[in-house]
Amino acid sequence: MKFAKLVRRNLFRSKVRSLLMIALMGAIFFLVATLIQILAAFESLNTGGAGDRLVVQSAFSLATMLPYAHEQKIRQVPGVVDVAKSQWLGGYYKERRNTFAILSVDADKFKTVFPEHKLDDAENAAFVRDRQGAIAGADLMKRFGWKLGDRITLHREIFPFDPEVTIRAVGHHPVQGSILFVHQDYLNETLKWNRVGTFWVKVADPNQMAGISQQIDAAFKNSEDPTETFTEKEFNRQFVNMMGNIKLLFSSISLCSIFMTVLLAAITMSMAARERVTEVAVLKAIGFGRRLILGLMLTEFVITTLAGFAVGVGGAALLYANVDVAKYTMGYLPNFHIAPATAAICAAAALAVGLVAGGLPSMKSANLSVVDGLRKVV
Amino acid sequence: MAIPLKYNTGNLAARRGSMLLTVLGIGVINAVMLSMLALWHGVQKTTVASGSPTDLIVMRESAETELSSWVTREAYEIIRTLPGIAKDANGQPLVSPELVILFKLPRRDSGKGSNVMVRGLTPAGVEMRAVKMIEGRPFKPGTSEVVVARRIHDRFASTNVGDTFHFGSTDYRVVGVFDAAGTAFDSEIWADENFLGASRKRLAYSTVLARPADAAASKSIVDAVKNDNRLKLQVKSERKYYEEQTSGLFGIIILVGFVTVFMVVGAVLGTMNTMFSAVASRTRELATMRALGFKRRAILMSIVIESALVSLLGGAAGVLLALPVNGISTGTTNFRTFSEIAFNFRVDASVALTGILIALVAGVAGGLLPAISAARMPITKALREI
Repeated sequence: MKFAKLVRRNLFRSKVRSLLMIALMGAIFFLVATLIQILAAFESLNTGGAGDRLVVQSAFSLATMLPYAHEQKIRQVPGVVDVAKSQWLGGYYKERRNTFAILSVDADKFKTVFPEHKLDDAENAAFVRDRQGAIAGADLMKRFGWKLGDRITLHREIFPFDPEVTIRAVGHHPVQGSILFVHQDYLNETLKWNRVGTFWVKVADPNQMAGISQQIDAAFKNSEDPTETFTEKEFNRQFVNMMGNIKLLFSSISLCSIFMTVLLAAITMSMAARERVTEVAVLKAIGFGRRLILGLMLTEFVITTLAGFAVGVGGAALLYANVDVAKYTMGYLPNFHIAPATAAICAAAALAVGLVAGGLPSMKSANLSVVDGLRKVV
Repeated sequence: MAIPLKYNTGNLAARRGSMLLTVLGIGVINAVMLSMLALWHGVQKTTVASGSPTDLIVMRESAETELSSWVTREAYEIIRTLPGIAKDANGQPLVSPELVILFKLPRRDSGKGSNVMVRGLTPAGVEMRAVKMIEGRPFKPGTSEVVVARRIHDRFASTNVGDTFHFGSTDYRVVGVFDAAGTAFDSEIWADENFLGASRKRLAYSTVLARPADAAASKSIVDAVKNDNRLKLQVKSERKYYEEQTSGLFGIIILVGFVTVFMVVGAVLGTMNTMFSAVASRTRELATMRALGFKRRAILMSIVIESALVSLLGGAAGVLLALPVNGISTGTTNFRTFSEIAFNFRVDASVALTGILIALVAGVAGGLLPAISAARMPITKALREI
């Protein structure tokens, strides 16, 4: 610790250089942390979903709707507790950038099939009573300053009408805070189609999900509307798969960026080492050992890269904590923030950059012969 | 008097090691940025460039995609007989009623199902889209034959010529593979309109594509459809329609913008860093030149030029590093249509030039501060420095 001052003085030897290095590292780690976090958000989509629900959709595609009559047959499959019809509506509130998930759902089944939204009993009853009622997620309530009883008009996306609804209940889902549900009956009475995109099936025993989903699909195999039944996890994974290979894309960008910082850091650090050759020779002459010199220099370099990490990841964390990213991504990435795991990965990367880029120049300094070092004119 | 360029090149040669590292570093930044631009270029090609600027697409009033649109057969008859529509060699109006349906088909690699857009066309519709058959032959009207785009052929199982794939209760026979030059049609399967409609039990069309005889005719057709209250349809140019489809790929747009901004910042800071070091390591040299009579401005210019040189080399290295990315085909889902859309990374001359230009600008921006600090150095103090 007694060398702390030496390290500190060396860090501030060239303020511009250290600051630039920290700024560069900061910018790159801001980017890398954001990319890792976006990947993590998609991964959580992958693993999210209740363990006791199946989703029945058309075997043709998600855009093909199934007849209402399927519900009766699904109910008859042993092990099925309850079934709720649900349809993705899309659309937005007032302006296109206020796009969030809007779905219709069987109002009277909502609480049993989707208990994780933790509806208040009285609010739920009010929602079920009002055919034009809606459940708004807590994040939406906050974002638009809505109150229970507010009447809002949603702009159409898929179906040819603009839903006009009254907020009757607030959803308190741990992750999906930006989601709005309207009555399936309201949609169907307006369209008079008697068809719906998905059936959400709650099962009694999660261990029997595979068997139940096979039975459901078998029941409609030869009908005009064959089905494909997924667990909720698989259903969600579809959407991640749809995005294509973003994992490869994001990790390539991150790796290239980090590689680039290694290169640029190496230049800076060898520069820093070169200009104090005489100084190091003096230190060695008065008895500083090789290891000590190596340690001191590496400490200095790692402190620089870690400072860059702190600026970048700290800045990202601060920014995402105060700015609602979902506003700028049309409702995607709700509750976006830098998770501790992401910060840890970046810290490890910053440490590695410091050690790799600083390794060679530090070693060179440590192995310097006193005579050569003193003779050298820089 | 300006400092000769040879001074800069000589300096770069003398500091070979750190110069190469800088060039490589900036090269990597540039390669990432170019890949982003290449991705964007590929996306643009599949969207904006897909539509003809003159052909008109007629859709249901509130529909935003072909998939959510429908046009009744009666409406089609009205549109077909509107004045001002171009005629083909046989005197038939160039109007194409089209049916667009999503098929879920298994991918070649994973076997997992993904949505593919299937377009039902009449001979007029095929004629209006100039695509090239690269294998097999066009489908025969009225049969279960289909032709698949090359990219679909590459990515989806059972889409070789001679293969049959099953969807719903119907078998479709692949008789040809076509190349639509990287446009959106390269992510489609084309079938006979009547057969597809009958097998999927569709009574209406999705959209109608019409070719106006000239610009004046185009306007009169748009007005005629708009003012006909029976129709409740909207008309826009096919190009405008595909431009609007880009919003379903907003994730890519955000990603490209975000990464590019950070790469430019990285390039500026990186150049600045090396140039500060370069200036610091030759303080005495620069002071000597000032003492010899070179003006501050000459020093400033010289350092900026050196910085620009390094960045240009970096930019060129970036182009070389990004070249392997060219042509890589990837796919994502257009979240407006939920259908698979394939596109290539395209590193062409315009992308490469943009990349080098941005590198150059970043180099000048990054060299400016070190250059100013070099030019401002007091001669006496700098000469004393060791």
